Amino acid sequence: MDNALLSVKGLEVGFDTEQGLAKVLDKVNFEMMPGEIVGLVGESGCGKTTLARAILGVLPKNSARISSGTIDFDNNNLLKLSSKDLADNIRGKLITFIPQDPLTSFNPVFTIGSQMMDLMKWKSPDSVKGKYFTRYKKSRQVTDRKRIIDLLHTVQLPDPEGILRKYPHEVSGGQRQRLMIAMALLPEPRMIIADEPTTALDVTIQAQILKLLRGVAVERGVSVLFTTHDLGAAYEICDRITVMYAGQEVETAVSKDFFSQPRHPYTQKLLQSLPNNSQDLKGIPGQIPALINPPSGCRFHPRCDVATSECAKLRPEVTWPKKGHMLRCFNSNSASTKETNNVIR
Amino acid sequence: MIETIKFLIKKLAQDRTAAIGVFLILSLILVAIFAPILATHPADITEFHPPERLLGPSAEHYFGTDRMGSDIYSRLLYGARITIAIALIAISVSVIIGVPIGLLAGYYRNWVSDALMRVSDIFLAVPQIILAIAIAQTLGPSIQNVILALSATYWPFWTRLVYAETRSALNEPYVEASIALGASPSRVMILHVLPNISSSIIVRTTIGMGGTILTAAALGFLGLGPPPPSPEWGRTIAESREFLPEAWWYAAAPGIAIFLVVMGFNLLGDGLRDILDPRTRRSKGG
Amino acid sequence: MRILYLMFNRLIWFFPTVFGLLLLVFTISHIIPADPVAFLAGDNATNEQIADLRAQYGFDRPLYIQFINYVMGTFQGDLGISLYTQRPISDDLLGRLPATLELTFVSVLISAILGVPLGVIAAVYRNSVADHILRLITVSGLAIASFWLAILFQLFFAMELQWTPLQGRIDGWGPDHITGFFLLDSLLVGDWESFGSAFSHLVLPVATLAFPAMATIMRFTRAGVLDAINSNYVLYEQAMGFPERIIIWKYILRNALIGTVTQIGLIFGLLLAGTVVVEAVFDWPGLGLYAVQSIMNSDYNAIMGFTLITGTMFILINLLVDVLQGVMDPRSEL
Repeated sequence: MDNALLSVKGLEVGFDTEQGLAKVLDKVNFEMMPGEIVGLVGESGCGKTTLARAILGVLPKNSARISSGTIDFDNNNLLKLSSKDLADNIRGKLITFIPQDPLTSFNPVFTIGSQMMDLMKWKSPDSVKGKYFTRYKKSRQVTDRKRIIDLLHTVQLPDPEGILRKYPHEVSGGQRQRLMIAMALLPEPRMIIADEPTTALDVTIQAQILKLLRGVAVERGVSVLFTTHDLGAAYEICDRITVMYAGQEVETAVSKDFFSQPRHPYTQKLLQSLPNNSQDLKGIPGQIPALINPPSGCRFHPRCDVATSECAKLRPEVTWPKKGHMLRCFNSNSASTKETNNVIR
Repeated sequence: MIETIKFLIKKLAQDRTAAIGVFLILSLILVAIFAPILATHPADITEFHPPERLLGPSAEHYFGTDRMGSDIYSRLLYGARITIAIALIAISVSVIIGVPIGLLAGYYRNWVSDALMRVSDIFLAVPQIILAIAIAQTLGPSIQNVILALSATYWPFWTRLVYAETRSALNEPYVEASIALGASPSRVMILHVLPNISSSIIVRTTIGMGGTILTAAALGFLGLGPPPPSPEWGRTIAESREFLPEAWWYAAAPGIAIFLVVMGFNLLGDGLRDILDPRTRRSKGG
Repeated sequence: MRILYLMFNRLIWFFPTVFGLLLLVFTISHIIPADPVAFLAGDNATNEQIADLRAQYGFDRPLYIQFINYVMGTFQGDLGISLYTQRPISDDLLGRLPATLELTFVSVLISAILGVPLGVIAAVYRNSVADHILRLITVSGLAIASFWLAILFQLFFAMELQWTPLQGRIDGWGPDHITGFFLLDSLLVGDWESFGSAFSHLVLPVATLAFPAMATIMRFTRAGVLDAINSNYVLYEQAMGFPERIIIWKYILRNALIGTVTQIGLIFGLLLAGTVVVEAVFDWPGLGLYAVQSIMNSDYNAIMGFTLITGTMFILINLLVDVLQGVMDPRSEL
């Protein structure tokens, strides 16, 4: 698809560890359309955060190795850009970030207002490309400050002026994440990467934050890449969902199909492991493989009920059982295709 | 226990700087033990040869001779004994006083523990060497008094450390559990808290050795150490001053000796900290 | 408001601590010596003289009375008479205070100016050649005996190269007395000759004192920066594309400095302790030299006065550091 906003192709990322190279992403393909909200779902350690960080270009410098692949954003390979170019013109301008833990992601010793003004100094829509040594003009400060206040109203924060004078630890967790959403929107980006944005929050607040995030994103036509291990959260906000297992993407489908007609054995088991009224809780037997020496072929095969000898040899190619439904599995037909009757909330 | 020691030795051998530290400390200990054998002029600790005073380094006198014509090399070796004795005893006494007080003050939460901590705070409120000067001056110059002055000024460091570590160890689930199961206070302190905080104590003690040696040398330099003709290193440097710059070797040897020994303890302390710090430690559960 | 509250809160502890210090010094001076009066009188005193002194100093009274008198005397500025200078010890100490303070302040300044950026560099380029060299410098700085370093500096820079004066604080009489800080006073009256002389005399003692202090600052700054580098807020700031230099020199450094500031107390302790030997070597007419001369002359009251004044200074500095830390870290409890 040429009109994709983001297109990751064959991305391979490893981490140097004491025991050797951990192959965290195995030739991952991933796509996002403009304005689309895509969920990246998987257990912890499946590589979703690594993928998010690879797109942002903030993988740990001394241990991460990108051995192959491309990350095209707006038909521009981000892996070819210099790190300075990425920091100055992509991150915080075109792609912004919402972190997992809003408390520790704010700098503890500066007021919220000063951190937001700092962001605007470099990342405001008015800031001129590449000019970092220019003074932050008073007139720009005034407009940017108005933008901040407006946006704080948008994310439904009471008393914006008062909040700007506070330190991060002085506001509540939910408010902090609203602030983070506001900061992600301030530069008027084309895409927001939200890395488990509700994991650190109280369950009661999670739904509000998700609703808010979806609302502002749809309203502004901003794409959101939303990583989570919480299928309920993904259901709440995503247009499309991609499942990852141990560094491989296994299935992508629009949310409705994803929950009603999951094809990949892993996805099915994942959905069955959700609590519901009719069945007992089901776990997935076996454990997540070590990525130093991962299973060959489809990395799920040691835990898969329908695996054949083929699965251990080769990684299944991409197939399209339905328009917009991507699958990487040899045996999806033998897997139980009966509709999982999971009712999410 | 043996496992832990094996683990420590293996890790220390891998850490180059810590290994250098161990080497320097072992050298000091060996030199101190074998001083009578290694010394070329062992009698020069007490004997003088005024005609041979202030000779430069030579095959006869490796590090030259001092103002009394004594062999600096031999005196240096015997000086190592004084340094080790002072540092070892002073630190042991500090640990023996400081650790139990810290444990008690950390375990109990009442006015006694507050009072104990206040007392140690007051000791810490004066720079160590200055307190040591005051005490050593009152007692008069001798090895025993230097040790006494250093012990009296250094113990609060261990009290502070053990107090803080005990307070945090008491919040550990397994310590809470053993208290809930009715273990006696002494049992909790000795069997559960102490082993858990021992690595901090070991690190602090190793680095403390370096600091104590420096302070002891400074006391010697100020004339508060063992009286002449003691070959104490600090005093030797003080004696050398009036013969500088001509007799440069006079000050060089003891100064380098102090530097290497203190460096040895600091490097070992740093290495131990890296190894024992649970945050940087990879495997090895309690 | 917050600062006032902080200061008040910390000041509450000042008086009990000073009281404790008085008790400590009293114990050392009145209780530890077998016979403090014989000590005071010196070796050649007759029994009669000792008895006179005993009555004069009130040593014949109960200990608690002695202590009360001692505390009262101290608060009135009476620390006794120096056996050596035959002047009130408080006058002696106050007269020498500026020399020591000037030396200490300049040393702290220099060690911070060098230590903080070097600590940041060591952390940012950790495990690089620069980091290893800086580590070697830190380890040496903490292992070298300051009196020996002072002698080495003298030997090399003053005797051999003759770049700096060997010892003393200034040539000639010095500038007119305003604050007692020669650098400041000579600037205030525009006496450039004195300024140059004061400056050149300061170089070696400051270098000696600043070396271990710089090593300590570097060490703590490095550790603080390393902690911050691995924090979530730095990841966030990077993910939002903040300029690298701003992340390091503003966001990280500001956090790392909180840890460094808490160590300034420790550093002042190092310096105050260092002044004793460094002033002795460089013949610097400050408190440290006074203490050393008092040791030589067994001028017992003078040493106790010195201990008291250095201890009080140290307590004050720690108090200040506490307040400063509270101001720098908005999360700290009041």
